[in-house]
Amino acid sequence: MISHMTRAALLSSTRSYLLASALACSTASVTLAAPASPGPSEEIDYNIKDETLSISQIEEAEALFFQGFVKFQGTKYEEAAELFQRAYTLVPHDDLLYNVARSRELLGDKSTAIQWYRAYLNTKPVDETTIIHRLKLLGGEPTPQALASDVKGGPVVLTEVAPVNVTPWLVTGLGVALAGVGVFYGLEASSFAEEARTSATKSDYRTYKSDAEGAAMIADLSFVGATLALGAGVYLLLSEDKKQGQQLNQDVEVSASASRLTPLKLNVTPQGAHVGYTWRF
Amino acid sequence: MTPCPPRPVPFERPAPFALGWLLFSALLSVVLSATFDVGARVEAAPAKDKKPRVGVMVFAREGVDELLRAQVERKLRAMIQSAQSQKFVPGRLYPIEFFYDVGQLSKANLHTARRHFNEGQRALESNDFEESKEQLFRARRFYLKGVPFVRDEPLLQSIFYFDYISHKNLKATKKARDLYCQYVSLSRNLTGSVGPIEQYESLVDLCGESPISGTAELNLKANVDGGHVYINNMPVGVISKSTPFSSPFMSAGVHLVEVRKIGYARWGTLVTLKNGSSKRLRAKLKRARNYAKDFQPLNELPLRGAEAYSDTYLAEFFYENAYKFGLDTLLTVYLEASGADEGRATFLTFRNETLEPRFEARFSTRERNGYYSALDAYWKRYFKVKVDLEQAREVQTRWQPTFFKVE
Repeated sequence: MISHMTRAALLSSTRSYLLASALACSTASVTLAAPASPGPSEEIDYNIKDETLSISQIEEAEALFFQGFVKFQGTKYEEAAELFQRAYTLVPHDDLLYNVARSRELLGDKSTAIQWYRAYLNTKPVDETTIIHRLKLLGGEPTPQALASDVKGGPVVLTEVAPVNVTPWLVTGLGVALAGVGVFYGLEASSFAEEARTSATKSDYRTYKSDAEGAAMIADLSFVGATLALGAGVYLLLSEDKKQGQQLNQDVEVSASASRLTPLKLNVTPQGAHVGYTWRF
Repeated sequence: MTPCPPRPVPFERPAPFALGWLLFSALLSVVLSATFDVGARVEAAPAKDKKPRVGVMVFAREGVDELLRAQVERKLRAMIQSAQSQKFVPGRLYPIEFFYDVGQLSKANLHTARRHFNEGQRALESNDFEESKEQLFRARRFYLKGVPFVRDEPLLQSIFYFDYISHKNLKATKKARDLYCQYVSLSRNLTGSVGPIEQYESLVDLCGESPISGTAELNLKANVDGGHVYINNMPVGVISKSTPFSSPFMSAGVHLVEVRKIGYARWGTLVTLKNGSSKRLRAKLKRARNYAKDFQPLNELPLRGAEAYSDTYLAEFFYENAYKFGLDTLLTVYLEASGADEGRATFLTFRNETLEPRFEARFSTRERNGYYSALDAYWKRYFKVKVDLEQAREVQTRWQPTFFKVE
């Protein structure tokens, strides 16, 4: 397993390299991130506590869960579902989502059960296949980006998927396109200039010179535009990524699979939910 | 009359084009430099919040018992954890022994277990419960082959849970109940809960009569001296060839038992203890592949005499090793026999990227806890904190509540 620091350096240097490749032709001198230390092959926090949870929270959630368990055993599914929901607001454990869904299903409340099953499915459980099958049996579509905010008395589990911010990419793309136009007209200008030098008559010379100057002007304008667009695009991309980095830092550790482009990340917390866009190579 | 050849006119490259190109290059350089800098800052942010890692290594020289070495190691770890909980030692204790593992190949077993588990799920969907039972049996068998190197607790729990569902659908009521109780027991044990399952009143009716209620005895022997015994990821004691580990009142149920020793690949198994039974296990640890490269240089470090490293070289040596293990603080102790019934402990402390002056203390090897005095003296000198050695225990705090799926 790549250690956290190794991953950070790897991500940083790889991303920078890709950016440099994409933007091309630069003579900039760069400073790479410091080398990172490797860790043991496997890291297990066998003695670490989840510091975001207090002991009282854990105990209360557990007590609510066992009360719900007793109600469930006694086929009082309505009360069981409510108790599991309350436990979930204290400790957001995946199994509690399943338990609420199962209670609602046995209660005959199909539409609510579907929502909770979808919320559970969104946690990417190992029994994903079974849950998808169950959703189909209940008549629901197995889409993980579901809404469960209207679940009676329950926490806001999921929110709508926010649109992906494509502006930084559009601006960067525009910059690259303008740079391409600049290079094309620059070469054209050089070609006309060469023609002007070798022209046999003065009128030819003037024509070619005029063409060369025109092409050079277009190239200049394109380069200035490309510079501004690329600058703005890169700034927007980095500020977007920084926001995501802070978000990841607060909520979850960066995924172990560093070499993956994760377009959407849906996080569910008792306080609410958010959708994140992660830009990682 | 032949026309005069045109006079060559020197053509100058249009100035605006050159200026634009220069401007573009200069600004691009600035943008790229900023990209690298900001990129480094963005990715460095999580590292800032990373807790520093503290590692402990204790080595025994000729004349010192390996069991004593393991006891000193265990006590020093307990002291660190105790000081950590009072925020005197920054960071957290880090298990160095995993650095010596050779268990990567076991991941193949985990993939096979996942495959059989998915087959089992599909069989359940098509109401072929015999097939799902068979597939889940295989999934469990392959998962167990990978223990302790693989770690996918949700998968393991789900294997037990779906096995229960299969048996329930096959109308094997008693077996199904036992499997559900095993699933609950596993869920509890993996979250660090201790005590028999019937301590939860709500589980008495369901599991009170099952074989996993009550207590059982576990006896463990090992092929190494000075190993640490872990049950459900909690350190519970030390073990030697001549001193087996015994736990007479363990809660019945499903437990993950491991033996770990620095320089050796871990040994582990998943064991199901039944009420009133006695289980015997034999731990077979193999030397890690990187034993010679990464263990021996530290183990055989010359401390005295002509071969002893200079202070500068020693500092570099520890810097490299701490870097290799990914540690911020590395506490190393060498135990030697310095006379009849007397031992000498040499402490080498690497922290804040500096190797601090070594500390030596003598202790009695005749008394049971003779090494406490050496540890106490070292602790006072370097950490300026008083730690009650008798009370210092490795933390066994529960860190997750017990939840499981209802059915």
